[in-house]
Amino acid sequence: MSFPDLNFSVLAPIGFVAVGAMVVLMGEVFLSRARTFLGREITEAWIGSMLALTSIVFLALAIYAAWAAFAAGSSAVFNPDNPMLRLDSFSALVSGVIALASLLSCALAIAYLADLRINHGEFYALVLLATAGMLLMVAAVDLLVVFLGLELMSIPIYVLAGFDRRKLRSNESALKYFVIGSFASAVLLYGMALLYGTAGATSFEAIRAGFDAESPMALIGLGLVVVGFAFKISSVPFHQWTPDVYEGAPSVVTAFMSVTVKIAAFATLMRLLALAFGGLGATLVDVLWVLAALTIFVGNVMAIIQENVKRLLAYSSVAHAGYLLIGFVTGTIEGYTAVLFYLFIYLFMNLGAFGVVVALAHRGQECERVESFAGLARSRPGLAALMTLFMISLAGIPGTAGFIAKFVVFSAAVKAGVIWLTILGVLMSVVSIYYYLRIPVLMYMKEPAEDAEFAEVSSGEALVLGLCAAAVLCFGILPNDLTLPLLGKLRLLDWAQESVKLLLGA
Amino acid sequence: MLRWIPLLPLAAAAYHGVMLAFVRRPTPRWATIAISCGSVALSFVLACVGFWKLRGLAPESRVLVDEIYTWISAGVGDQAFSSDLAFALDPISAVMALVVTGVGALIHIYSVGYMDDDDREDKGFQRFFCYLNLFTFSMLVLVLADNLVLMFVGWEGVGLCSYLLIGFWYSDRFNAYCGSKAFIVNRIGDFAFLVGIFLVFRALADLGAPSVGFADIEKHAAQMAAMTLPVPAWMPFGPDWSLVNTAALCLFVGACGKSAQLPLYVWLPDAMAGPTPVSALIHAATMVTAGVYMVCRLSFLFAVAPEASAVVAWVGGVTAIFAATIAIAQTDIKKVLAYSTVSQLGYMFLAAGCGGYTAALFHLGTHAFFKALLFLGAGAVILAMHHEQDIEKMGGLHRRIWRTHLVFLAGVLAIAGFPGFSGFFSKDEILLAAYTSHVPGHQWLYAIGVATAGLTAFYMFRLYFRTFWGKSRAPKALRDHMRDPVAWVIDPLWVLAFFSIFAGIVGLPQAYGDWFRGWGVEESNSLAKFLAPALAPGEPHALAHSTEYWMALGTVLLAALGAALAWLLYVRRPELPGRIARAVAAVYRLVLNKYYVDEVYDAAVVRPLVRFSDRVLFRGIDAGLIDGAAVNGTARTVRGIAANGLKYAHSGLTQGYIFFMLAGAVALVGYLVR
Repeated sequence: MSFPDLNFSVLAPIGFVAVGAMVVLMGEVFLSRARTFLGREITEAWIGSMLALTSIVFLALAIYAAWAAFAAGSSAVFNPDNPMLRLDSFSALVSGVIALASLLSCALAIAYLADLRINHGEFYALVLLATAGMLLMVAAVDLLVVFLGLELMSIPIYVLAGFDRRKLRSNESALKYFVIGSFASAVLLYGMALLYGTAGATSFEAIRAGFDAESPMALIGLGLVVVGFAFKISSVPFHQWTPDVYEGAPSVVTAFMSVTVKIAAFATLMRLLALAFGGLGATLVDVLWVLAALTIFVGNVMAIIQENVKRLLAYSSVAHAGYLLIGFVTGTIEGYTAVLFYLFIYLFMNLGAFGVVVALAHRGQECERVESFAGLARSRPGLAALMTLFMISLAGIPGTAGFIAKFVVFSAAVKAGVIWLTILGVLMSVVSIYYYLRIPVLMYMKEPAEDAEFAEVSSGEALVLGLCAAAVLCFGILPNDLTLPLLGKLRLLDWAQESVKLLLGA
Repeated sequence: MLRWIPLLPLAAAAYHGVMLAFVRRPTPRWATIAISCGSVALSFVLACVGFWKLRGLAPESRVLVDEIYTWISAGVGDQAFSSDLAFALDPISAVMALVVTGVGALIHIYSVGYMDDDDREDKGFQRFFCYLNLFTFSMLVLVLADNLVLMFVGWEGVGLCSYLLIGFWYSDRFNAYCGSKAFIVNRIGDFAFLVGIFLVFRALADLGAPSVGFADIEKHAAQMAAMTLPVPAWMPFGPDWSLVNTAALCLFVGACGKSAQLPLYVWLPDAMAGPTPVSALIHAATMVTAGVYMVCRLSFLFAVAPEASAVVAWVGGVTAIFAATIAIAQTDIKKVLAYSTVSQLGYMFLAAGCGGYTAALFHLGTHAFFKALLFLGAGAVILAMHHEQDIEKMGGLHRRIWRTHLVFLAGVLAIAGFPGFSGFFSKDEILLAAYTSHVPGHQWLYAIGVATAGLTAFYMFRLYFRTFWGKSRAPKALRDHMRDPVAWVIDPLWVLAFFSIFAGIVGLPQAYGDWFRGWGVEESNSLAKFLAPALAPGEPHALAHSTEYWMALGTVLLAALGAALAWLLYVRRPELPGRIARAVAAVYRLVLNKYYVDEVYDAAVVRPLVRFSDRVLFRGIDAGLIDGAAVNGTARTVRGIAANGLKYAHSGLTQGYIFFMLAGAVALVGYLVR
């Protein structure tokens, strides 16, 4: 028996995150028992900060590993005899972005958790575990690993959604997410089983080779896999959990999951479509077209009548999933590039928007009603300005990154001849301006309802919000030419295109 | 180097802007003064250097170009349009730049004293200098631009600054109203100006040189003269309009707006609501002459458009005499000067339309000196009178503020055309150009010019006598404390007075130049010779020197008559004007109320327009159709879909969600399998 020639460097990003989770978990156990650490007395808040810093360090290492792999441009599989995990420029890029989003979420969480008195170290461990699951998912080239990653991602997030144990809505959110998520996982697993049944293997390559477009078994399997992912990206009609879960979960968890899960699920779906389903069959295009149209329409229209900011942002994220699906409908390199680029930008603007909600939370009284934003420009001018920036970016107004993202998607769609869907997308973007701008209007043009007293912005929140705002502004002006000291030139569009080209084998 | 002439004042304006908007702490006053006045003075030095360099070049190659970068680049192939951000210094722009920075620097210094007490909570002092520097920058862009598009940028920039400065004391609603009026009336002219630019561009594009650079216009002017513009046959002069004439007329309408000519002059008298240094700099010396400058700058275009030139000349002539008659009855010291400015600008257009571009530019320069002097002198009077502007409440000031009186008198003599003063020579040139030109009815234009000269002398001396002579009509308390203003205010006036008297030497006509040969005047007509390469060749003066002397004598006599009449009426027999006014009450009221032009405009244009905008455009179309039906209607529909339909699909119950997922999955798989 010969030992396979394993390539452990493929595991580096996932490994750092997973090890980080263990370290945080063990650290919490020992620190919470100890009274003093290195001679100084320790408090719960201090433990929280330390664990957050530890997670940030491990996530930074993961980002570095992913970046190194991307820069090297290599494409390596973990086990050449049985390729299940592949670290190529696509997965490296997406892994780095996901790890960055997790890192920012950790930084956002420190003050928030302390304020809510739920400053338990498991939080960071769970975030890291979920992140490990996402990294596993996007590196997978085998259905089994995809499912493994999906569950490793989902289960910690079910727990995170109910992290505020004393709050009823948080519990409701966790339970709903868990029940519906399990259902979706079952559907996905069923679909995978059927695909295995047709192809006789679970690797993407084998499925592509053995896929028989005539056989009902293969088609049902394909449909069920699509349904499973449509759930994760909250596409209509599989979206209904989204507002409830986003609303009930602690705001920082919402910020984390709204961004990372979406990126991971979209990237994995992209890989599946590109590698396993051999581009797109004409029938699948129709399905995605209908899903995109429904998602854009329902997401935007339902957002209009929301009175809770987190629900509003939930429907907004549904709508954005619809715009992203347009990129899939095109099936071209431009379209896929646009999706990837959109996801990067979405990370900054959505995390920023939720970050403002997080920063406004105070002593468990979350600033969640849309009305509670009235007059905010007077009491907290900085946060009001940031929120305005994120709102106009989400609405896609020129000068912000959100505009470039939408523009790239729509122009790819027009080039590919997907005209009616683009028209719907543009029209619905107009509708979206109504609910996005409602918040700045309230902040700047209305008197505050009561003498609201808010907490100071913590340094972690300030850092995250500042970074997101800078990204939204800079990428809005220079999406492909931003040069920074140390980091060099940030060519987001080129990077996205490079990895998509590799993915599609062009 | 050229770029620094406009950029220095811009930098100063930017400094003030940053200090006002972002730093928001009181800044030391000496820094404000040093940066503001220093930047303009440095610009003036640079302009002098540029002027000197130009003089060193051969006459036909006298142009310095500073290309900064390609500003607009559009289109492909032989229709590719490109426009540079480039400044050009040629004889005309050099003269203009010297006037703008020179007179500008003096007025900046004057303002230090004039605005000294403006120390309110909105940091009036620094705000004022911010605008003033911004204006200088815009004006220099306008003057130095080497193409029409960049010129338009400066054109709009000076309009903006004019608006900001007229309404500088914005807490008084009337000032804000005057600012808006100036801006809106100018907008009408700007629209025509833009159309003119497009027509020029179109013509040049058809000739294979798609650009709006002045050099290209000059090169292709002769070819453009033959081009036509197809219009619907029912229009007058259809079906083909001469393209140059149309373009030149459009451009001239723009000039009418900016230079306050009939029928768009109404904003200038109201612009006097601004601080007096603003009136001097913007509404007398520089900005309002931009239209004259533009016509001269495009002299090659106007030279091949004889009909348009005739219109220019006639509009100028009619404006000159029209405004002069209004000035006779005004009692506000600044209003008199404002109408006088309108009248003098009319003079310049009269010259330009008759082909006397040199004469127009000459008068532009001398007028800048003496009108700035008069305005600043009026400002000094106003300061001494504690912001009283009505000449009915003045009188007898000549002994109390004798320095102001002296410089003011120099300005009055210059504008009235007293022999030897600058205004005499430039006015003479204009009348000569009108006399010798081929514009239809040029003899009448000449007569109008001479009559206006007489009227000018009359109303200027009326102003002078009412203000400085006779019995004082001011309250006693004020009378006892009256003194000349501080040195900041009075010193620039000496410089301006010097130039008002002697600036005529640069353009000494041949007829007089010969007298002074060997007295330090080496050549006559040096200004004309300097400007000649940059201007379209004008009409030659084919007049004997003796004829010139007779003509000048006639004008001077008429002016002297006007002055004497003013003396008689306002010093010798001060009771007479009232009796005359009563005797011809109808005429007097008509003139006093400025021929009711504002009222007519109000009734014929403004009110119908406001009513139409309010009833139809606002309430009917905007509020009713767009807001009501289109915007709110769709909003209601979309909201209705959500609130009355989709909402019920969202039950909040897990089993409901799963039901929809299941239904969706079945539909999806069902479609795939089919």
